[in-house]
Amino acid sequence: MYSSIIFKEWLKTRRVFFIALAVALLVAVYVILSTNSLIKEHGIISLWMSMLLKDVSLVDTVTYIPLAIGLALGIAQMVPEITQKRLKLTLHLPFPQSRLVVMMLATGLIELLVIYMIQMGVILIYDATIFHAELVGRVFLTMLPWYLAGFIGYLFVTSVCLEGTWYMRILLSLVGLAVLLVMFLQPNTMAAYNYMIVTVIIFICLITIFSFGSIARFKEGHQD
Amino acid sequence: MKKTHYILFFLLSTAVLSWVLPWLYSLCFAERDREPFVSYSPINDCFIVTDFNTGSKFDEPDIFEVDPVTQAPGRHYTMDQRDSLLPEIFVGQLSAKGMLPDSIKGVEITMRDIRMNSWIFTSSPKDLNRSVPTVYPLMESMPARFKFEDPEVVLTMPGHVVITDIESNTVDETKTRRFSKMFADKGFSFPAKEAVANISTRKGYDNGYLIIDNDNKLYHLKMQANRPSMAHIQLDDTIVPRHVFVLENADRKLYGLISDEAHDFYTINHDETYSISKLSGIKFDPEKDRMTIIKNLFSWCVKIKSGNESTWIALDPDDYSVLAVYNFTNPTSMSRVIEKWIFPFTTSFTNVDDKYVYPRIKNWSWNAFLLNAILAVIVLFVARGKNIRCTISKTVMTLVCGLFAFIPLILMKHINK
Repeated sequence: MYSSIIFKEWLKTRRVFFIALAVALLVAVYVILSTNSLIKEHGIISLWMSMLLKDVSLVDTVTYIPLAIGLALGIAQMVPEITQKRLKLTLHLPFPQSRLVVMMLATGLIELLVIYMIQMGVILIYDATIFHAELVGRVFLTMLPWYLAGFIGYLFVTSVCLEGTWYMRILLSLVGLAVLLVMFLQPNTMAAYNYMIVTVIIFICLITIFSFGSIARFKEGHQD
Repeated sequence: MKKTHYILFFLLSTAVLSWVLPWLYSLCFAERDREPFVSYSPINDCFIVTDFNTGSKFDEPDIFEVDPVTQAPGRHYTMDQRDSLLPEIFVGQLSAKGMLPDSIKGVEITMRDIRMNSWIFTSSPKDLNRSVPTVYPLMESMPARFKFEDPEVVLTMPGHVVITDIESNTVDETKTRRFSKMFADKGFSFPAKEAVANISTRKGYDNGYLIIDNDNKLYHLKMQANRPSMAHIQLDDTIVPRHVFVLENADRKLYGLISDEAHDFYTINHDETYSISKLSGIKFDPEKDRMTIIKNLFSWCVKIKSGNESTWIALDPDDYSVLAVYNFTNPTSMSRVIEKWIFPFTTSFTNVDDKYVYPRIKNWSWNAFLLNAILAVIVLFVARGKNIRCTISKTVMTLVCGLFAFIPLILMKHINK
């Protein structure tokens, strides 16, 4: 049953997964090419000085990509459940409801994790060849909140899609929007979220509850 | 699960509103501090205050002198008179009009003297309260062609000295050996607590790094002809340095400034012994306060801004004794007063004094308790006849969080738990 559910989720998301992976890789390649171009134009010393003295991370292009991927994957996975009335059918499967939701969310989150790790890995491996390890660490800490925002975006989209009433969908969307705004408050400062990373990870674990709550409400008949 | 979902959503909405509502309020009623420009006059030995806050922006500013002892406003001046009283500040204006005096206080002055002996130092908490890399670029202080170039190596001091060549991103073994020996000879204790330099090719000379080691000892480090030059700066036992600032001014009188744990402020004088002088009357916490020093031939004018309070202290440039003090408090605006009656507290993720993002709850206000109580009564009325524990929880939350809890409770009233 587990593999069947994973396969069902994979069928819904595979197209978006591969498109998102391609976009993520293209952006990573763009970051590498533009860094290479800057090295040829200004020299590697100039880049080091920009990173050390001016808080230039050289990965600004990545900023909203993880969020866009998170939202796209969430929509691709959950919208068919609502529009094609599949959710009712899914909830009638001979499988515990909570485990079913866990499997659905886990599939999406793992797909996101794979995309994010590949993109981040490509950029950081390249950076490690030209920058000091501490600077590579700072680039990682600068990018990490953007990827966490991707997970937050995904989880809010799933809970909004699984919610049965438009009123609650709007409330969830507004709160989700505000939370996502927090993740982009200092886009031009490196490692600005250092004190908040653990809190955000705990928060991500907590907001999975919204999807469970939406399903529970849906099952009780709270639908427009 | 549904109950947990409801509680979590309510708490998250309350937290979000405690950030969004005060932010929207401050956007609607944005105001800026209108501080006067204050400078010390070597002509009449008084602070000259130029107050722009006189109504219309087209009005002439109110310019007056301040008694150095009582801080009482004295004679008022026109802008032209003000220029003559502050010849070192308005040197361009006076020179253009042919009104620059030949001498001040019996000392012959020229434009060159004024420019060579004038500098400005600023320090903002935002510069210190941020994540900074512990990778320090090392400039060559004695370049072969007398022109500074970008650093080619960086210094790191995790538990020992490592010099890394930037071009190859590999350890420069020769320099690492030389610098390690120098650090060991000087008794440096790793890791460094702070290392500060002014890395720029647009300067007259290079003063290198001021470094505070793990035992709070202060060092001066330069790279000259690819070799380290390091000196241990002797401090009194009473001085525990917390932050250091490197100066590279045209007058070449100082290596830098020190702020210590007791918030006292010192200069490191540009002499062979690295003598230390205390700036009298200065209490400055660089992590919380802003400082501006305008130094000229006849005085140091030090401005320290802490919250709403600003203090200007004029110091003698030779012995750093206090010449005059002027205090100014920015009045609290009406919108801020009203805000305290609406919001019991505010949440923010950013701050003007640092570059970090994390939640901080501040501006607690008892004044908002009245509104909170009214809203709590409404909640009690709306929730009457329902689960008693739930009603009490909602009422207490509204009493504490006021509007931030009230809005989600009302919006979520229709949501079946």
